[in-house]
Amino acid sequence: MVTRGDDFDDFVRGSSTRLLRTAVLLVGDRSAAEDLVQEMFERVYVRWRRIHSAPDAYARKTLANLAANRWRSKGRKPEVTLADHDRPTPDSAEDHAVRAQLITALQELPPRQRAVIVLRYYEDLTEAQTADALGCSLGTVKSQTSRALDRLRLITEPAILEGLR
Amino acid sequence: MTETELKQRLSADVDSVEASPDLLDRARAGGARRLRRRRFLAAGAIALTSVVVGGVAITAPAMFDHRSDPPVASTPGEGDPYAFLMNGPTRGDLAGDTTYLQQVLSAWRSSHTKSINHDRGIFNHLQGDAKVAWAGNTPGGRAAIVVENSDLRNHSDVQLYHEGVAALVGYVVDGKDGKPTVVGDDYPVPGSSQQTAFVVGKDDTKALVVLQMPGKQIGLSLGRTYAEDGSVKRMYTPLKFRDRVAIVKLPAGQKDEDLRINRMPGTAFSYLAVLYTGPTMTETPDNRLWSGFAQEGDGLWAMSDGANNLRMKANEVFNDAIGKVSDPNANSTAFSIWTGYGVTTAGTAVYIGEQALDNDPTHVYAVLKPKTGKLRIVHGGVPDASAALPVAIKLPDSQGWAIARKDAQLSYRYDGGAWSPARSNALLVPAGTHAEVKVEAGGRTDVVPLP
Repeated sequence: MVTRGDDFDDFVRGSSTRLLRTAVLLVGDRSAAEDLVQEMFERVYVRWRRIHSAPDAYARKTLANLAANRWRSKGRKPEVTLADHDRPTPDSAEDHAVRAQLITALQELPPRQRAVIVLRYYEDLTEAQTADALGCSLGTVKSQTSRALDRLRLITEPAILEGLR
Repeated sequence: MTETELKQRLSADVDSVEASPDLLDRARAGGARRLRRRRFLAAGAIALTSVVVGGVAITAPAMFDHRSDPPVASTPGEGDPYAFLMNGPTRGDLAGDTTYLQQVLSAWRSSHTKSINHDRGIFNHLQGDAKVAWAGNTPGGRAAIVVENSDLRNHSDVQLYHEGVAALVGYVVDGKDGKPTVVGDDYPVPGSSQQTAFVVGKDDTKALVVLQMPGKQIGLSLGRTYAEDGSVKRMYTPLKFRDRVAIVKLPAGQKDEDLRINRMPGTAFSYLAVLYTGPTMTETPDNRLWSGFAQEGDGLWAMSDGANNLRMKANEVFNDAIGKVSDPNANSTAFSIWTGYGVTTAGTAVYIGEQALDNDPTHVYAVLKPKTGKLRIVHGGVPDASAALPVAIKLPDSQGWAIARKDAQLSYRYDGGAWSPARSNALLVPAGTHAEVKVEAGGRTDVVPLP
């Protein structure tokens, strides 16, 4: 039986919720995100000996690639948006509506732009790390970020992104 | 919403999402299954290496199975780009001026608390002694480069691939009081731009000091040029280095923010940067010709009949075409929010819009996609927002003009004849003699001749 030891287990326990949240933002669908994250961890498991010193970067790259491949094979629209989640949110109905609007707007972005926004503003990666995760140039990250923010403003203004300038 | 608020809202959107407790078991089981499969396939591939036809059939599934696997980085980042400065004696024509060197080191030591990198913890674990790597006279006054090792650690604002000792660098010029002052410092962040040049100024004379990076031929660009074919480029002049630096006297009136350094030939994105000490740059300059549309559809303007099939992707087609030939080293790009789209009588799809780079004025362009042949871009120049007709781009091959003015009714005529039916916001005008455009906007009517 092949095993990866405690360090792999610790990595999965410590990162699974965060990476699942990233995946949900990337694909806009909880069940699809769970499938992606499981597949990602399986690939991390296979490569563990080579990446165990810095598994986060590899995991993010794999997740971004899997999400992009999913869109390429299935088209743009998610089956179920995040707004359909059973979520015990304590905030007001208005806040909830605003959240649903933002996540819907995010799903309207092309996959690469959405990934840039999620990695830069949710995962809090630098532009260079985002470029590394997406396998593109720093210039592409800059232009995609600018374009994605512009499109988000366009899609959502004035309701939820008012003042994002 | 600020970027911080965007981060908070993205987090809030998924804050109730929790991973399933059995995810670890599933990941382990799935991973082990994949590993067994890989080994089986690898063994099969080895066994069949002499059977060429069978080898393709066996290895192909393995390749597809890992099409989403990124390459594993062996040594991320460039390591320690400033380490070479720790070697050898102080260089430059002021290397023998021990009083100046002591002042430089004193300025360096007292600068840490004021550095923008102080809160990133880069000075928390300094190692050994600082040294002046270079000190010299420039047309803009005295300048020096200091280097010191630091044991860098990951920090809330610093994400490193590797923690450990690396060289910090500090750039020193004479302040208003004539004493050495640190104007900036830098540390190695793998994959990110390194600030390897700084401006020195005295009176009205400025010079650029560029640090030589081993193994790299470096060029300097003073600004970008906008070509008729829509491309926005920079010409890089190779720099000549001596004592590890290149010193360039800058032309009068040169803006620091227009300077770029790059590895030659300078066509790619540059990971080298000039230290910027001016006011904070905006993420996206609001210097567009037209913005503030309530809905996305409000900025999509049909310029002719028979163009409905262009509408959905018009904005994307325009911005992608312009982006591909634009300066890759702009700090920020304001893409067009509005797009005119139409079809000429020759069947060429035409898209018009604008793009603004950094603090440059916005430029307008027409993108032409003929039925066959290559895509072509026509530069329409810098629009005059106050003109009756701000956008009038003459199309090549006698295909007429593409014109636009937001919230205006536009029609055309030839030789003083009858006016065409009016169209809102944008219009394709077929080629004709003595063409004129009637612009009706804000209760006023103007007639503008087309060139």
